Amino acid sequence: MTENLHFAYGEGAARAEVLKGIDLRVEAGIMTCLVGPSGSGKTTLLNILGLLEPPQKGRVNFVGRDVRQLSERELEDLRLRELGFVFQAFFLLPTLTVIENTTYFLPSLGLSRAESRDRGMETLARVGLVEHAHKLPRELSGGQRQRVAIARALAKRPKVILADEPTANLDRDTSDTIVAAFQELREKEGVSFVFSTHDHHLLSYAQSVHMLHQGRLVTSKGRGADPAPGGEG
Amino acid sequence: MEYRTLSSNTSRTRMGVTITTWIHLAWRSLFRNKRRTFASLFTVAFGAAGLLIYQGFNEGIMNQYRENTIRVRYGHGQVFPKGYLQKKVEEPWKLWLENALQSSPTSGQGQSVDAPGVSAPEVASSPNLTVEERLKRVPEVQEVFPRVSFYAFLMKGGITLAGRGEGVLSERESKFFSAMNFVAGGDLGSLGDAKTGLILGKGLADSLNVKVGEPLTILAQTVNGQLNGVELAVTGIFHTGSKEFDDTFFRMELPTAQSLIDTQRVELFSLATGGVEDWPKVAAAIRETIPEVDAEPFDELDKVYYRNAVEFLDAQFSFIRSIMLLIVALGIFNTIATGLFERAGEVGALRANGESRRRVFAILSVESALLGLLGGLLGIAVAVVLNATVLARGIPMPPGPGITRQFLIFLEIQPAHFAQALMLPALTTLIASIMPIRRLVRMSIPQLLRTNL
Repeated sequence: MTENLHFAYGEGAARAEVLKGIDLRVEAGIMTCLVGPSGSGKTTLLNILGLLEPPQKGRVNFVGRDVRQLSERELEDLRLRELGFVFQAFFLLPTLTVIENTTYFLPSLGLSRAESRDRGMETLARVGLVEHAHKLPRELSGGQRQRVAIARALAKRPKVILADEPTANLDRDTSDTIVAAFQELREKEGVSFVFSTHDHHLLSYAQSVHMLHQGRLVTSKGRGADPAPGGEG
Repeated sequence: MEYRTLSSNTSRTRMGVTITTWIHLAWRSLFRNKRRTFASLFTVAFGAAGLLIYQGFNEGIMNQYRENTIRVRYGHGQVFPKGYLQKKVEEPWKLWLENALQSSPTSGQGQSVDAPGVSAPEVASSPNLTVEERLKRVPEVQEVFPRVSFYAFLMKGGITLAGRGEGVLSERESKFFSAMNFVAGGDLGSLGDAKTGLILGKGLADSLNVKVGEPLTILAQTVNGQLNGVELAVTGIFHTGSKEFDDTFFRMELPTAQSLIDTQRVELFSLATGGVEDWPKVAAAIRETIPEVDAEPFDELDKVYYRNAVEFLDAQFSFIRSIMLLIVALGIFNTIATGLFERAGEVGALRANGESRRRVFAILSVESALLGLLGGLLGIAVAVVLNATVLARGIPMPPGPGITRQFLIFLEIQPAHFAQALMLPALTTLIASIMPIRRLVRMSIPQLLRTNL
């Protein structure tokens, strides 16, 4: 949950305020989408919600804790255990195979080698990549790489998955496979999803949609949508 | 939602997988950009090979210098009458060792060291034995060489020159003092009776214009202050390369020298041991069992030439080594920094998903250390191959300071040099990487994610 969230880049004359008093509630177990034109602040808001960037002004509460009160170590541990991140540019480790990328964080979560492998294969099955488990990322298409990035986030079994344009590089069929996997996780395990996206197909699955424009929430629809100042609520 | 904390079991598991994971990841990442990795590897290998060859070369010079010093002049060390080197006296022979030789006819104490009923330690410390006998009982001592030295005039025709004479037991010495490098003739006994022979340095021989087989008159002062002379035949001319030694020194048989200066005493004993590393034990045994003498190692006796040369070469090597390592560091810094910042996005994605700064720092540091170790191994292999091929015949060197002949240097690579050639470049690589790694891990996650877009 965010309260009166502000964020700016630069200083003095170069200062550009990208978030101007955002109040947002992300409910557990639903898909939340952030939409808006480029430069509207979607990625910055996603970064703050994902504990990658501290808020400059305002409050961010995550699982009942004010993130400003958390130490660097606690934030790292929250990101490891509770959050999963998927990026448009994949950012896979090119020297590790698909299964190694997928299971990268699992030993840090206390899983044994065998447990990590089992969970990795199970996750790859969900995104339809089992047969590519031992390939290197360079041997995969762009869509397949994105599915590996998603599998890497899913394998941690986080409470929230944040994704910056997760289906931007996927074809419709692949996108459907991914969305189905997201839906299954959401329904069976109560995982929450927060996306920034332009994909209307993905929007149709979202239970909550928030539109940003020039740093403000102008429209919020669905569950958890508090009336935004000046918005349609 | 409930915030979960790490259990102690989880922490232990994390620690257990950490080291192998770091090494595994580092190894896999090492060859992601082969061209860049090989460029760095060759830079490090060049440094390691250079270090090893230069260190082996330096060791070769020092060992040759040491062997020359030991096998021309001093042995592994010498034994003098107590306080002899410290005292400045007009008649030093009054301090020389009396009845010191095992076969001394005047000692009257020629008791067998193998006398029944006497244990070895008792024999070794027994005052009834001569100094020579007691020296021979020190386990590490392989041979003892009694000597006297004196100043004398050498005369041939109308030429008279001053020189420094030494009385030695040539038959015994010839086996150990093997670096005399005779350029004409041979040892004292090579022309017949050793007692009538004389060997001298090339500089002295050239100045006297004397050749092998020709007679020389030696004029010296006896211990009683009288002038005494002897005519000896030149049997050999040596060229050790030490200008001071070759221009000044000559040697004759010990009994001849004792007769010339009219004494039965000996000034000192040179000792041959199993090696330079034996000297501390030898010195300790002598201190314990022969209290009337002092024992000095060869490097203390040849402080001006040998020890100063070694210290000079050591200092020079340290300086050049620093420059080589600096070149390695500067050579790989840019390559490593470029490679690291190309991976900013990956690092950002890992950190966004919970990887800690500490682990990222560790993985990248291990990768750099691995690169340095591999480069070091490659450099060692190159140096070993070069040493076995193109350098196998030695490196011809011109005469150094105070040296009058050319010499060949062979690389003498010691086990410690391998360790140094491996560890120093690895450490240098790691140090050169620390700054860019620190910069990378200090960047915020959004900064990292934006870097490669």
